[in-house]
This record gives sequence, structure tokens and C-alpha cells, in this order.
Amino acid sequence: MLATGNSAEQIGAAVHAAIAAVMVQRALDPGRIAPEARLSDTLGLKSMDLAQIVLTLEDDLAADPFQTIPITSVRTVGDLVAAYLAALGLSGDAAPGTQDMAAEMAQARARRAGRRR
Amino acid sequence: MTATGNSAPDAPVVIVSGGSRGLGLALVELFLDRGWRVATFSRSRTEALDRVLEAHGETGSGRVVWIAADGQSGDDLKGVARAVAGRWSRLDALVNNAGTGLDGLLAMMRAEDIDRVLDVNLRGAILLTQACVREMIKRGTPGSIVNISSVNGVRGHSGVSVYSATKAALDGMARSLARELGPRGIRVNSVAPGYFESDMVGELSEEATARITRRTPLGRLAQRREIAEAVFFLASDHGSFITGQVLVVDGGLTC
Repeated sequence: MLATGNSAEQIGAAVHAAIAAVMVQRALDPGRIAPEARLSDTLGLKSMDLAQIVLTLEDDLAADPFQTIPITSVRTVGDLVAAYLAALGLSGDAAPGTQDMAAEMAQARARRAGRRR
Repeated sequence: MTATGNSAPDAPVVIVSGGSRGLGLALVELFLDRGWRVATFSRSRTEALDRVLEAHGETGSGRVVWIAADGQSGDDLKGVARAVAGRWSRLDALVNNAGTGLDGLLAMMRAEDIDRVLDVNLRGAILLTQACVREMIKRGTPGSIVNISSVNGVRGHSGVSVYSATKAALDGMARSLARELGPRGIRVNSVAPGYFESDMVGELSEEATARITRRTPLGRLAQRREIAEAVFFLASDHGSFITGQVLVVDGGLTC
């Protein structure tokens, strides 16, 4: 676990390192990690990969932002970093995508309903 | 957490819930016999478990730990999974064994008794599974989860409706979780024992026991060890291509 009082740079580095570790494990190219890179479309990560990243960061940063915001609100590497910064009180901004939360949850419900039919 | 030694550093690690007596204790002993490291937890210890801890704990082989934990507390269960995976740096298998029975007509059952069975048999198993799966995913390693279900989850029997509901629910969880975790090499199965020598069967009348024996093609109750062997088969690499299944071990009672 990182020491308490981490800087935003250290948080960002920890998130990038966790993403890179999983990408290497999944034989994906971690060289594509960038703030604007989309976790799914650009980096090729699946939902279970994201779960692995979040569980690793829970240990490293002693924080799990997704107990309060939906993980579906995170789309890019930058979103993920921002979620941890917000959870650790290092950003005055709202957690990423929260303004779209209701719409995204409605879309997710619609997709699930479609699969059940 | 009861501290023990840390021998056999490469041996696989299993968590068995409710390992202080009955089938749980038989599972602890079988996994130890096969060279695994075993962690079990319960609210209190038994003399039988003490003997196992003496032989395999810190003064013995160092391959077993016992943890005082409440199987209905999410925090305790998360703590068990973390402590075991942290101590031995791996977690290969979980056996959801802890359970309790409830007999009687549904129409006459008290709500608090129903809640107790749902909490122990289902909620506790789900929370422990979640805690262990999180450790497995975090490490990116394969694993195996085996639920102790029951023939009552497979066939209907009068007087055990709530118990049956919890066991059928575990089987449903196994099937869905098998699909969810299969890509990560984590297998999820159930073992559905028929009647075996246990405290629960000990409460049956002689007449009821004789009737069960008569209806069982193999003509007897199972030994605990026979159920434990089936669990070990699925938990270990012997069952490496089996997931999302319910293995009925009942001497043919439901065939």
C-alpha cells in the first residue's frame, strides 16, 4: 500500500501501473495507455480486467471509489484516475461521468433487458 | 487468527467454511492428507478440530490455520479471505460447507428461523465466495469453488422447503458464476450429497433411516469421506475441465 498523503501524480502513476500489469498479463500492449485511451475500445480491457485493476488499487491506495459511483461511468484511463483522485479527496471535481450516471444506468438496464428476451 | 507455521510453501491452499465438525472436518482432514494447506473458520473450536490443529498446526506440519470468525459477518468473511491469501500468498480453492438445517412445514415456520437458514446457508456462502473470488481475480490466478449443496436442492422433499431453496440457490449461483469466472480459469461447482452419516441424519428416526437405505440403490448411507472425495475431485486439478455442474453423490437415490 502507498503511504498516506499521496500526491495526484503518485495516484495517477499507481493507476497506470495497475492497468499496465493487467495488460501485460492479458498479452495486451501497455504502450497504448494514455489519459484519453478508452479502457475497452482502445486498450482492449474487459469488465473482469477492470475488476482486477480496481481490486489491486483497493490494496495499493486503500480506496474503492466504486462503492459510491457506478463503474460504468468510467470509460477512459483519465476517468479512472479522476475517480481515485476524487475518492481520495485530491480533486474538487465531481467523479467522472456522474452527470451522465442516470442515463448510463438506464442504458445498462435496457441492454440487460434485451439480453434476457 | 491462530498463528501456525508456514511449511510446504508451494502447496495449494483451500478455505473450508465450517471445518470444526462433521463433513467440514472430514474435508479439512482429506485436503491435509493430500498435501494441501487448509484454512478453516468457525465461531468456536471443537476437540476434534483441536486434534487436527495439534497435528498440523504450528507445532506440527504448519499446514492448517483456524480463524475465529462469524460466518454471517461480511467483514469477518472478507477478513478470512484476505488473511489466508495474504499469509500463504495464494488461494486455490474454496469449499462452501457451512450450513444448517431446518425441518418442518413451511406453513408453521417462524420467520426468524427462515432468516437464520437463509443467512447461514446462502448469504454467508455468497459473501464468502465474493471475498475469495476477489482475491483470485486480484492475483490473476485460476481457482476452484465448490458448494456443498444437497439432493434436496435437486429433488423435492416434504418438510425441507427452505433448506431446499438455499441449496438450489447455491446450485444456481454455481452455474452463473461458472460463466462469469470461466474466462479467468476459476471453476465453480456444487456437490449434492444424499444422506450420509452426520448430525442431521442422526436426528432421523430408525424407521426413516431404514426407509432411506431401502430406497438407495447402493443400500446404505454414505461415509463422510466419500462425500469429501467428490469435493476434492472438483476442487483439485482432477476436475480441471468441469465447471457449472452439480455432482450428485447419493448412492443412486435420485437416479
